[in-house]
Amino acid sequence: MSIDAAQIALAWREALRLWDAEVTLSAPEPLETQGRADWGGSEPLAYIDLVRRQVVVNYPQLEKIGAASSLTAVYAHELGHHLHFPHTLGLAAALEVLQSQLVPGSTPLTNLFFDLQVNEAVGRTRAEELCAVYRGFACALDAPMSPLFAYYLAIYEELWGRPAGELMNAETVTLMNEKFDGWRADARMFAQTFYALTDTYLQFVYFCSRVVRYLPDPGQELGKLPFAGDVPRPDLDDYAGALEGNGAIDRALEEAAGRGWLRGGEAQDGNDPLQKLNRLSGIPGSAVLPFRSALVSRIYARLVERNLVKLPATAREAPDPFLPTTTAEWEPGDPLRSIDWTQSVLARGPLASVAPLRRELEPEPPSAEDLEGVAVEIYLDTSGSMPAPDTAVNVMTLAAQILSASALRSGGRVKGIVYSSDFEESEWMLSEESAREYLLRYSGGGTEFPFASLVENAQNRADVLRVVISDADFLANVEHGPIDYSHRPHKPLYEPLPLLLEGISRSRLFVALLSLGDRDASRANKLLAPALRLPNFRLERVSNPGQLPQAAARLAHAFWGK
Amino acid sequence: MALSLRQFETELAAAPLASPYSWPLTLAVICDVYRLAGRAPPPASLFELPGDTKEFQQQRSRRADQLGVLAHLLASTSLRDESVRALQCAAPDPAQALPAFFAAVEPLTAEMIRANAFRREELVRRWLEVVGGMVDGETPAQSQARLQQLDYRSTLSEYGRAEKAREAEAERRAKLLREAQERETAARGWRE
Repeated sequence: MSIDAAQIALAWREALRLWDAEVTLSAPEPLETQGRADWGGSEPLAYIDLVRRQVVVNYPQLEKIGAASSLTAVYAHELGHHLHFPHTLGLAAALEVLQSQLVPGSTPLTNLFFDLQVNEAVGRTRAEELCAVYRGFACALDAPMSPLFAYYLAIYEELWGRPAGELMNAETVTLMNEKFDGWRADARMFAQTFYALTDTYLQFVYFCSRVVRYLPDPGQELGKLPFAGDVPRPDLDDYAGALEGNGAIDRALEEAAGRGWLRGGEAQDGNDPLQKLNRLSGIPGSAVLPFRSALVSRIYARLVERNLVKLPATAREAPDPFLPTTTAEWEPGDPLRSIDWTQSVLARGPLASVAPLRRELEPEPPSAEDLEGVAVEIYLDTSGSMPAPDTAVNVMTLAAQILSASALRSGGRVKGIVYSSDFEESEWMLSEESAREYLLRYSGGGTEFPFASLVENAQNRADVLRVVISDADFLANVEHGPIDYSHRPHKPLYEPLPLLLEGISRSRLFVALLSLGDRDASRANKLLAPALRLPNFRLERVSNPGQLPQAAARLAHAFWGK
Repeated sequence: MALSLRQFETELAAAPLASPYSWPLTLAVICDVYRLAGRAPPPASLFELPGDTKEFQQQRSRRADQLGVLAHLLASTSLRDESVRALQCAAPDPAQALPAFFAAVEPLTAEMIRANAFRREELVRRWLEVVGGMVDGETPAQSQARLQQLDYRSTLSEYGRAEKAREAEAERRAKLLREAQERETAARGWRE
């Protein structure tokens, strides 16, 4: 028997009716018409592409497992993902972040969780069809059923009142009985508790707290599950929003801890989004590092927005890229439009179609006359006294980002000088994104303020607002300067204070934004006394590093708020 | 006509419990079911719990809560009609049925019954056993099987074993995670 067009049309109508929804979705497509890249290489039973709003079903597999008559339930399952569970990928991302807190080291379980929600609704009228799918899938497994899958099927048996072990084979039941004491009661209790919870986050916390027992060891794959991966993965913005956390999650964790579902420690977690990101193990795609960097950048962008006292204006629109740059190898996953076919044919000849070349376009930087705002140089201390900005929120980095975003939004330009034992200096930057990425650089070594670079920059341009963001290490630098270790006794390489004074006097304004304790405050007044006498020097002191972002926001407001 | 669980839930959703039933009102509602069926109501002593220890007081309070919710279910849904119908046909001896009922529903709290449809269904089915009622669309054997599946008391005792094992397994998993983290840190240090 093979599934014909009439069956497909009828099942699709019934599935839509099951959800009582008027949605404009194109008719389902068979899997074989999709490219392999579209479904990730594994062989799914069905999935929904939320970008194209397209349900795709693997009809041959459905027939192979003897569940051709379950077509309506399969469609309804996919529609359920689209219409209700997860409803938004922001929720999926939030749950993934929550999972990384509750079950660190595991691959994402959110798809399984959403399947439990969808199947309860579909199973109210089509439990038999879903059972046929799961039963067929279980029989077709070419390896022993994973404990997670067995537990998962037992939940459905309990939910739909099926005899124990109906959806799995006897060997699996025996193995589970041997390995997991009380697992059947566990599944029964799960079914009778999970579906009585009304809050999604609480449901998810409960779900994680129960299934963790049946998961493979950290780092190992979950094993084959039907409908696994049929919900698309969240994107950058979804993750960035999720990493901020929300009150509903905190309440769910508190309630779960109160009900005894969590062991000590899981519920207590800082709100640092970067620490949450570090635990997130299931970041999608093969390009984990670029995705992670982009995510770190988004997190800081959100923190900047939150810390800005008043936004001077909206971000300047980036100019359209049109200047051709050099070519590089085109790789699968790169945009097709980036291929330069002419150059590919010229360089590769007949092999052009096999190994084409990619040419990136860059925007033309605006001329200096087109810029109205002030130029700002930010000297950012990235020594080891502060955490790496991609592992925890680095408040110095954040302060620099706030100043940079404010300057750029007021039509200015920004140069970043990131220093530690050594220093790096950027070109003048005009876009918030490049400035943000540049200022996320980190060294983690000692602290040596680049006085020589300051003087050189000051000699080149005097109309620049210069800001140094540091702590008491800056005072040590001003007091001792860099040490020449090649001579004994060690001597300073040069006197730093005169260089600093020259840099200040050749600046439009020089601001030292420093985190100094009370003892260091009087030391600063003494050490920087010559600078404090200059009209274009300002010392902005905060008593602890956590106040640096607010101080930067106040500065930004004073400079560009109007 | 047997009780339709779907209709029961619909009726209940339309009549939320505004405030707890007092003990005298609870007893009155339950005994009225017997009276409506033309049967003598069970003696009040069958509902009472003797003893003055703290444990008894707690049990008494829980029973008052459970029966208060049951009274609400009887007063606002077709559960009462089915109970009356069943009692008219054949009345199981309350002196035997009620103690068994109390023992079976002992772990259920009023909050559980209110918030969890499974626990509510269990209470209703246990009550139908007391009065000899039936669930629509089910044979007695099916009802019995479903009741076994819903049996919170026996699930709880078996579940205790799962919880104990979970603790040990969680320890093991935490240890594996720590080791994996240590390995990763060591490898990173070497790369750097």
